[in-house]
Amino acid sequence: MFNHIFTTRIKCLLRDKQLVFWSLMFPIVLATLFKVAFSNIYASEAFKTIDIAVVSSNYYQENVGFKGAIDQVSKEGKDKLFNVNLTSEKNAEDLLKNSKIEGYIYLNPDVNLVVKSEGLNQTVIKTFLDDYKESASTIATIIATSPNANHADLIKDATTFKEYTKEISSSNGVPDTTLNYFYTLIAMACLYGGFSGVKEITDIQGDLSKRAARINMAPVHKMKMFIYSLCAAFLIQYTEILIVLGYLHFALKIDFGNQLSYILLLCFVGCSTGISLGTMISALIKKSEGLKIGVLIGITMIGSFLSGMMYANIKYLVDKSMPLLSYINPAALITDGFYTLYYYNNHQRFFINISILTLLTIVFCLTTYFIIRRQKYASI
Amino acid sequence: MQVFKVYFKIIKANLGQMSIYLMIFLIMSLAFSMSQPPKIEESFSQTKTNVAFINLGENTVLTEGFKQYLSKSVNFIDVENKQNKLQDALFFRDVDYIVTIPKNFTTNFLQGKPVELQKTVVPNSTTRMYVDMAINKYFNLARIYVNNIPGITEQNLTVQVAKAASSGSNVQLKTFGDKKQNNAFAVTYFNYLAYSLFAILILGVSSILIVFNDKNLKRRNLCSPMKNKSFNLQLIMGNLVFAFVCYVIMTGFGFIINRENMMSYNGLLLCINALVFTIAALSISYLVGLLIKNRNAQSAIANVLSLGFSFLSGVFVPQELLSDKAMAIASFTPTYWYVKANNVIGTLSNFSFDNLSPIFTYMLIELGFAMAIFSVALVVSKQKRITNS
Repeated sequence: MFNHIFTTRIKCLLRDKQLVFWSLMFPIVLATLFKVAFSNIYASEAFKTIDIAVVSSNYYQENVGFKGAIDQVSKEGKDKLFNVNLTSEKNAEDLLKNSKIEGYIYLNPDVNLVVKSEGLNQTVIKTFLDDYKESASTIATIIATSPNANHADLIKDATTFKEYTKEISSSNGVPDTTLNYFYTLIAMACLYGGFSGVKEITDIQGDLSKRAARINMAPVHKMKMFIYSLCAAFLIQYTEILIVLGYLHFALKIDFGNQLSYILLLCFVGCSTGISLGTMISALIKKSEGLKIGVLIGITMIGSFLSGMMYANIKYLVDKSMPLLSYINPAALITDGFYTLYYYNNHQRFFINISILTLLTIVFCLTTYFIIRRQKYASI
Repeated sequence: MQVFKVYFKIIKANLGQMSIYLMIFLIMSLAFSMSQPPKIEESFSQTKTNVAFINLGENTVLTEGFKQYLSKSVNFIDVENKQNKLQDALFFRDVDYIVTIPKNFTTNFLQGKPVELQKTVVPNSTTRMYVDMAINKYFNLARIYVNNIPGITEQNLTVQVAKAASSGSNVQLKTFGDKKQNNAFAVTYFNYLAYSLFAILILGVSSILIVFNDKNLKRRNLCSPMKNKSFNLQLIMGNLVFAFVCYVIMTGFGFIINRENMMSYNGLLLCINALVFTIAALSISYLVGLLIKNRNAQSAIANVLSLGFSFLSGVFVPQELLSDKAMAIASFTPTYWYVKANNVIGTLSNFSFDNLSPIFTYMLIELGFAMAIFSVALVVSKQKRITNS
């Protein structure tokens, strides 16, 4: 009996092209678009050597200290800060006007910077200039306040640079915010399993479809039939999620960390939550299928939005200001599961997520059960 | 006028689906416009980075002085000193830099022992570079004082360093004689319009064509005494009016929420460009509508096409951030040229012919797309008529 119902349901679900499109093809298309749009965002935060110009005036040529400082930071190598273009003032202005450089420096004999707009690169140039100026004034101050200081030592001290920061990281992966978009996408795909959940209810409740009416005639226990059907829906949904996951990992090279078994567990629980959410909605709403689908899409979209699918920082804001909302939002829980697996080096929060998802699934299933059990039809 | 009237009856019946796109567009724009105070640059101010500051040791005069000094270059953000909270804050860029002062830092520093501040950063980012520079500057200056003025007090040290560090260099902000107007929001609004307008047009036009291309309905219509020419003309008028109404609603809302900036040549050009784009989008919708066979496929195709064009063409993410490959593909869509024109219009402050000509070129390309796609649509519909009869 199990085999018969199971295979029939699999055929039924696979032939529903719309269902397959939304739960499999749509996430894949969206992931590809995300990849196209977001792949350079993280890279754009990386430091690129800044193009500047220095006006080659007499003041500049005579100021050995400043010349040396400029040479120091425009030397080829890891710490190269600027690409320096030594030119006339007129030319420098033209370059700035046409956005070929971020700013130009001129000496009169004081150091001056000209820029076109505000921004991080402009601030870096300014910081560099301040730095130079302050070192110079420091030497002057020290000589003025303690004339006994050893000049040679002082100059040596002032020209040596010491690094005072040391990088530490307690995370497994780099903090690439764009990854969150892909994690919410899988969460969305998991919850789209609800479509098959809706369909399973429509096909088992005699008052909802002709097929269900016919099936109810058969002398098979309704719950048995329903559970077998759900197994079929689950198998399809889980396979689809694995295909999406595989596509993201192998074709789009999205980093999920390297804890495969935990990822599979998360997808497993995520799919169960998605399908049971669909069955519950379908059982609760006694109106048309269109409305059921609408409610399901609405819940999924709001959930995905709150877990950062349209704007990643929403997830952080919700976590920070309304943590309770993240604990009841299945999309946020699934997203957070992927996030913790990628980024954290402990599993504490991951298992909290998994537990709540399981709890939600049980609540959804029980609600469905209490609504559809013992419904018999005298005449339809 | 029967056909024209039926056109809008069908639109009315399908209004629900379309209004979702419209409402989301309007609400998002409104939220966005309220969250962005207009910013006009007059004098140069430093860009400040968000930093989480954690002191594991006790507060000393030196650490306080350091914090005071650092506040000129960064904004301090309060984050609970828990590993997960700090990690979250960095991942979602609530902070770009986490700096931790270890225990006994001040004592060790004053005694000249090697000391280091711990930092957790976004690797290789410009913000990291900038904060590093600021931190190193402070402690290198302080070191010079400690080494060269023996017995300098902590108090005196911070005062001296703060004094030295306050001699900022002179920065001039040049605008090259142009009045600066901030068009960023208007451009974002009009770029985003490309997504919603396109989705709505596809949904609307395809709903109409699905009805009128129904085999039985079509045969019945052909029997009617109405001239075919008049029938088609009314249908075309319907399409044009529908598209124009959508256009007016969306640009009109743009005017309402962004009045000051839209009342300018830039605003006018944005509106013209949007109108040109509407024509191109309409012709694509017409072609798509001819090819869609049933309602189930309708929302799938509307979603994939509108999202696909928008993502590829830089509606949601600025074009500069897209890869060259994506740009190459996108250049085969009118959306790409529309967004490109908008971006140029946004930066325009001198309306000479030289500056305007690229914009008109982009608009012509959009019109070219409209013509080409419409011709294909005509061929397709002719083909369909022949195979049907």
